[in-house]
Amino acid sequence: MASLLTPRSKRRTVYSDIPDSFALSPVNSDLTRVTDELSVKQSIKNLMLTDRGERLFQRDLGSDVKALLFENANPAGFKIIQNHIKDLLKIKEPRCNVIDVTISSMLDSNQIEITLRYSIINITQIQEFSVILDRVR
Amino acid sequence: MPKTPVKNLDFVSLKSDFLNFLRTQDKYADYNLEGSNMNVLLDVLSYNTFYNQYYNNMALSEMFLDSSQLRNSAISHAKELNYVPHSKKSATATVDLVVRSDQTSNFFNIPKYTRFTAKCGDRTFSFVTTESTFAGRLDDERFQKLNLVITEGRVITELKTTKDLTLKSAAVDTDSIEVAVNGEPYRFVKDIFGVGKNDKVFYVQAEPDGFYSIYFGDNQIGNQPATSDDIRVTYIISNGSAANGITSIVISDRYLNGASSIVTTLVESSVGGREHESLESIKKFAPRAYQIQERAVTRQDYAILLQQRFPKIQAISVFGGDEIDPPQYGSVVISVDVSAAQGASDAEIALYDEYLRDKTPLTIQPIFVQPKFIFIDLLADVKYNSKLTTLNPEELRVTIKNELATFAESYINGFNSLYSQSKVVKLIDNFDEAITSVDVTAVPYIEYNPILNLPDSPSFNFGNELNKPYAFVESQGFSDYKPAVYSSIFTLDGIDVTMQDDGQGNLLATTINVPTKAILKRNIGTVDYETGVVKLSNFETSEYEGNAIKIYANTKAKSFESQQDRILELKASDINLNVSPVSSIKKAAGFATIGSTTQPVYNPGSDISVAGEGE
Repeated sequence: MASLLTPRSKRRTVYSDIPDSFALSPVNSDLTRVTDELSVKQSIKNLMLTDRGERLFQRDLGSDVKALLFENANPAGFKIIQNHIKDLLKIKEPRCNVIDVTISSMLDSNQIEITLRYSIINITQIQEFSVILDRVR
Repeated sequence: MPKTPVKNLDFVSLKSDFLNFLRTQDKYADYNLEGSNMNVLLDVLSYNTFYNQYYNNMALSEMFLDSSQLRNSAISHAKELNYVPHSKKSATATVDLVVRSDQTSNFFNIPKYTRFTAKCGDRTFSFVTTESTFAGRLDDERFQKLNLVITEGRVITELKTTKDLTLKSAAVDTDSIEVAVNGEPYRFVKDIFGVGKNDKVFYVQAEPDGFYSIYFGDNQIGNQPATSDDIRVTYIISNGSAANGITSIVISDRYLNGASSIVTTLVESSVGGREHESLESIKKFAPRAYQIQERAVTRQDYAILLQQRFPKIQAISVFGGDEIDPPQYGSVVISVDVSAAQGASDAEIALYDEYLRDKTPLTIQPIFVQPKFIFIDLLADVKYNSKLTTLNPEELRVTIKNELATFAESYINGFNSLYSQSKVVKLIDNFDEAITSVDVTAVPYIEYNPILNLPDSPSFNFGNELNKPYAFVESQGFSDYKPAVYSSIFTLDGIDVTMQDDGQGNLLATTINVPTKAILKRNIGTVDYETGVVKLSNFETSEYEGNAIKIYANTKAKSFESQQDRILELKASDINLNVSPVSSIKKAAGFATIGSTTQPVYNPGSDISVAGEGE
C-alpha cells in the first residue's frame, strides 16, 4: 500500500533555468535553478517584459507592452496588447499553450493587470500568471 | 568544451557555438529558449565576444599599411616609410596680360600673389601669381606679358610658434608652402640628405584628418628656431580638381601699380588640380617610395618616381637605350603620356628631366621621347535574336559601342598593351543573351602626317609579325589580292592613290579607280613582314584624305600588342558595329540535331521557324 502512495522515483525535471535572483544554494553554495512550471513562468515573464529591440541582434523579440502603455487605455488598445502577447508566446515559448489573456485596467492608479492562463506541455495543471504594469513616475 | 573552430565572427554564429556547447550538459536545459535567463546570458556573452572579435580585427587591420582601412592609419604607417601623402594640388592656367600704363620704365612690375578671378561653370575661383615678374613694353602706352602661369587658390599667412606648427587648413597645397623665420626664408627639403646643422630648412609631414604640419631641424639636421622667433608660414589653399577647366579670367586689381587698365586673355585653361592622395594610392606608393629610396635605378623606379611626383602622367613606358634602333647605350628611354593630351609638352618634359637629374646614376642619361600611337580599326558584325531583347538594332549598337569604349579605356589603351581578339568577342557575346553570333575584324593602323610637297623617309614600326601574302602578279589584277600593308588615299604626282605591298617586301602606289586599278609607282618603300616595320623612301605627297594618312597592317595573329614607346589605342570613333536581327536561328530557336534529321525542341520565348526535313 505504501508503495502506491509513495512515488518510486522522483518526477523527472524537464525544464530548468537560472533563477532571476541568481540565488546560491545554502547546501553547496552552487547556483540554484528553477525548474518546470517555474522555469516556464519565468520565461513568459521575461518575454512579456522585453521590448522589441531591447535584446541585441534580435529586434523582433519582445512584446512591446511597455511601448503600448502610452496608447489610449481602451478596449482596442488592450486587444492589441493581447494579440502581441499571444503571438509572441506562440512563436517564442513553444512549451506553453496560451488559453486566455485577460487585461484589466485600473485607471485610477494608472495600472493595468495582465493575467495569463496557459497550459504547459507534459504538465496537466493549468497555470496562471499575473503581472501589474505600473507607471514609474 | 568541444572543439569550436575560431572562424565565426558574427553574433549569430557565435551564439550558435555557445548553444552547441551547452547541449553537452543537462543541468540547465532551457538554454535554447529565448525567454530563459540562460539565453539572456548567452546573448550578453555572444555580444561581448562579437564586440571583442570586431575590435581586435579592426585594431589588427589598422596595425598594418596593407590592411588599414582608415586614412589616418595609412598616413601613420606611411610616416614610418618617410612618405608624405600628397596634398590637394592647385590647378594652373596660362594667361596673356596687356597693361595700359603711363609709367616711363620699360618694365611693368607684376608682383607675387597678384590675384585673378576665374569662372568655371557656376563657380568662381581665385588665381594668383606665385612669383613676381615683369611685363615688357609693347608700345608707348602698353606693356605685355605672354604665357604668365598662374595658380589657383587663396594665399594665407599664419603666424606660428615652435610648439604648434600644424597648418590650419587641410586644403593646403604643400608645394606652395613658404616659411620665413624672423623674415629669413627657409628652404623646403624632402629628406635629411646633405642637410647641415646650420641649414635653414624645413620639412613637411602629414597629420591626421588631412592636415599637414611643418617641422624644423634640431640643430643637427637643420637649424632649429628659438621659441621666441617670429615664424610665418605662407601657403595656398586649393580647391583641387574643381578648378580644372576654367572658361574665363580677369585680373582682380585692374589698377595694379597705377595701370589704367589690364586686359587678361586666357591662353590655356586650368589643368593639374587634384584632390588629396587617396587611401589606395598611399597604400600603393608608400612602400614603393621607400623601396626606391628617391633613386632611379630600375625601370620601375623611373615610372614610380615620375608618376608619384607628377600625377598628371596617365601612362609611362621606360625601356633601355640598348633596346632601340640604333642602340643608345648608357641611356634610359622614357615615353610619357599625360591625361587630356597626346604625349607630353616640352615644358613638362623639361620638368621631368630636371626632377630625375639628381636621382639617376651618374652614367645614365634619361632620354624622353614622345609616344607614338597604334590605333585600332575595329569592325564587328553582330547578329541577335530580336525575340530575346527589347532593344532595337540601333540601341543595341550604341550600348555595345559604349561598353567597348569603356573596356578599351581600362584594358587596351596604354603602353605595353595587348589587344585580345578573344576578349573583345567574349565581351560582345556576353553583353546580351539575345546575341547569337559575333564576327570581329580588328586592324591596327598608324597615322602619318607628312609635310606637304616635301620628301621624307619615315619609318613605322607595328611591332607585330605581318601576314605575308603571296607575290603579287600584275596580270592577275588586284581584285583578289590581300596585301599586308595598305593605306588611305593620298595624292602622288597629282593622282589619287593608296599604297600597298607586293608580297615581296616592296610598297607600291596604286590608283584607286576600280576596276581599272593600276600601279602608278613602284618601290616607294619597304615592308619587313617579320618585324612589322614599314619604311617609306623619299615619300612626297601634295594632299591626303582626312587629317592623316592611315597606314593599315594585316597582322598574322588576330591579337596584337604595343611595345616600347607605342601606345595602343582603340578610339570610340574607330568602333564600327553592324547589328542586325537574324531571320532563322536554329540554335536559338530551339532546334537540336537528332540523328540525321532536325527536330524541334521546346524553347520558350524563342523565334521558332519551320525547317523542313533535311534542310
